[in-house]
Amino acid sequence: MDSSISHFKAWLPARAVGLLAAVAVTWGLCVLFSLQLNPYIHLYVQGAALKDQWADKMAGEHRAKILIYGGSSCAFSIDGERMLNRYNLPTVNYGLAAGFGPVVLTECVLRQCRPGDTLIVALEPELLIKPMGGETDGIQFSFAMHHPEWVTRPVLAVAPISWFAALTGLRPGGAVTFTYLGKFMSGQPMTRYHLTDFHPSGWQQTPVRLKVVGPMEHDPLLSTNACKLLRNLRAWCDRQHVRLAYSLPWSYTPPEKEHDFKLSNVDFLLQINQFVPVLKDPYLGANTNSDLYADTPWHLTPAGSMIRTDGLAEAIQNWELWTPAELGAQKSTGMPSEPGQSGRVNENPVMSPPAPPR
Amino acid sequence: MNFAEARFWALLLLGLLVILSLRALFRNLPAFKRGLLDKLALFGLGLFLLLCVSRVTFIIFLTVAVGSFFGLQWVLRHQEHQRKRYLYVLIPLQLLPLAFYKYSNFVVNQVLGFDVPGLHNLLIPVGISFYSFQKVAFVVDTLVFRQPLPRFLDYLNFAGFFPQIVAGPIERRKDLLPQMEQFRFRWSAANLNEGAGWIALGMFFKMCLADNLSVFFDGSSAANAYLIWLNNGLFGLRIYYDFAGYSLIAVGLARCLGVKLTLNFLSPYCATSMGEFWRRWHITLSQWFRDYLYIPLGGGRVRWWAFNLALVFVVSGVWHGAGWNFVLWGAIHGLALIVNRLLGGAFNLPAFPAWLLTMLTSFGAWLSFYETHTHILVLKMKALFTPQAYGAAAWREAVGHCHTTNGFVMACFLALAGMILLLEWLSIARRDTPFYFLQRPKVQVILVALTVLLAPEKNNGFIYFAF
Repeated sequence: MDSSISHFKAWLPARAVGLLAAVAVTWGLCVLFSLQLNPYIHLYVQGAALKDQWADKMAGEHRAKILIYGGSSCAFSIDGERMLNRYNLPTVNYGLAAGFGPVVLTECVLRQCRPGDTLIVALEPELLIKPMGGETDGIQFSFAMHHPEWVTRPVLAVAPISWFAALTGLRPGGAVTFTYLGKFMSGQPMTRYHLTDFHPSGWQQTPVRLKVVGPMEHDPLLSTNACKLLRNLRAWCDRQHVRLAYSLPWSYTPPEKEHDFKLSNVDFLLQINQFVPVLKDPYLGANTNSDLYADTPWHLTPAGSMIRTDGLAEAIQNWELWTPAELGAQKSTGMPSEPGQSGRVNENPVMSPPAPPR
Repeated sequence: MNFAEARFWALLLLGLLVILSLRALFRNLPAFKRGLLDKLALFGLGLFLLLCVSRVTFIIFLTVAVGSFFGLQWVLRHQEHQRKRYLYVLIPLQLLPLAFYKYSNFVVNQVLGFDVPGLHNLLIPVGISFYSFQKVAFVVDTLVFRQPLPRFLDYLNFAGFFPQIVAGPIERRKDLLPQMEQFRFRWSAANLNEGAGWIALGMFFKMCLADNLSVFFDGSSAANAYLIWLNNGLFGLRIYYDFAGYSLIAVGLARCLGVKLTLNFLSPYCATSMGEFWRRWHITLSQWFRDYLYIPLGGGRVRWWAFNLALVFVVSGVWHGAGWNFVLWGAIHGLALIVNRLLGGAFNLPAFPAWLLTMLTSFGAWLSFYETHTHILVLKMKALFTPQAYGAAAWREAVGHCHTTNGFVMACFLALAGMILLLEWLSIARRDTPFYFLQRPKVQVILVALTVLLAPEKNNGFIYFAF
């Protein structure tokens, strides 16, 4: 017996096994943190539950509803209650966090889409330009929402990741760990936003006011996966009898940069328009009034949100869409006629979006 | 063969499972045939893993490896006095693929001023600089030391041993070939334990330190000396942890298979002179240049030793990449070593100032390693030597930059990297064994936990894959 034990001890690479066990235990703790304790993910899980409640309410009280989704620029821009009370448009704001990535944001809203509904895509341009799929926050959010298939087997079949990649994404990583550590040490709140910032329709606001610098310039070329996402989304909506359109979020733009930024946005919209119709908006994604922004060049204040909501409501009511000719005319009207780049696909995007505030 | 990717480990596991199945299937074979099967399996595993990297890499590796063997066999058929002449033909032939893929664009388009579009976007096959040098060393060692030609299969395993094929260590015939001749797949708890320790340390270096430090590197400022120094520091730490991490994983993987590879890094940032730095940094490459270039040129015992030293380091710079910046990087190191040798005896600095001076030189030189645009490199170098670039405004700008780039997180990683360097220094100072304290079981558990916790979502490729 003793000899068999000593033989087993000699045979077993105890140190290697111990290191593997350390990997497993640490990973388990990381999963626990990511899905249960991470304040950022927890906030958006609760926020999504609020939005779901409003969506169920709208579905129960109205024949069809409007769902608008995107990153936080969407969450801060569209006041669903104003859309309902002022324009009789039952609207749910499914804006979450851009860091979740376009795939997860889309998958999250699709489960609430019913035949007859209207789906407004308000994804930030950066999300459609940079490579997509496998965003850690998106992985953690989808697992915390009990929908891992959003990343492993998305309905739109865009940028799925393996189960292994998904499971290894359930870790905070260095930036998050040390950011929380810094906040803890300095006594700051763990997240900038709170559940009380969410209104029942999903509209989000914050009392935080910071100097904003803009615009959030972007390459006008869509990524390969963005083209696929928009194409598959269009096909899915057609099959489900869901009306679909894109609405460009507003970014704060200093007056001297307005012209160039709008020009870049027109190029961007001309590409979007090849896959999804684009709702008319004379701002073309550029607003020059910094007082209308709260804490980032994407986050509108209540006053800014009111203007944006009213404009969008009118465009939806009248279903006013840009035609390619009209968009082209926007480029030439008072703008230097530079060659458009529509139709090209961005294989190597160089711009990266700003880190989302935690 | 990116050790930081899960795909590599999955493929390795798959390959090992196939090998285990084959061994079980042929367990009744005589011992010598089982040995042959093991060697064949090791070679097959290496080829399979290389093929998974890319087909071009696979084909070029086979061409260089097989060509070197049969070229050497052909040379050995001649009389001894004729062999040297044929060596001058064989070595350039061995280096031909390397010259074409790595230097043709630089020489033809940049130095000679032609514009051959086909050369602009040549992809350098992974590991070509490493395995080409290993084959050259093999040919020279065989001829100079009058060694017999090994069996072809043993040579192939020596040439294509997968843990070290794409980024070294550049092993010598006397160190690796005998191990390949004796190779068997054996279960050894001691080897697995030791290997796992090196792999864990390598993974920590790469995934926790190098990949996280790379996030903060931003070489956009050409006028602010503080930011340039910050980026030199970040790059210097990153490239060390990246390459040393890779090398340690290679050592660990080999150890798990019962093979001992050379440690390529012995805590170079603990060095107190440039000479010592190069005895600790990328050791197998330094030894290669010493034995196959510096000593044949006359080494340090001739009057033109300074020229030899400068030439070796310029060539070493060019080995790292085809560009004027790499030439300059090599020249800076060559010059530093010449100054070191000339003044080293006259000024016997205490350890700390000597270490500081060595670090200033090596981290300052990293600028010409990462900045590939010559005109920007010149601007940055000017800034480093301009007093105004160190003014209060530049300081404020640097502080502001750190605030906007999540300076606290960067500071945490720099502190972590600093603690690891301290442990490396303690290992040498107190135990005279590199990485001694980082190999302690409890420390390793902490390092593993930190790797799992802090590794970023996406790893960067290994820097030295580009060489």
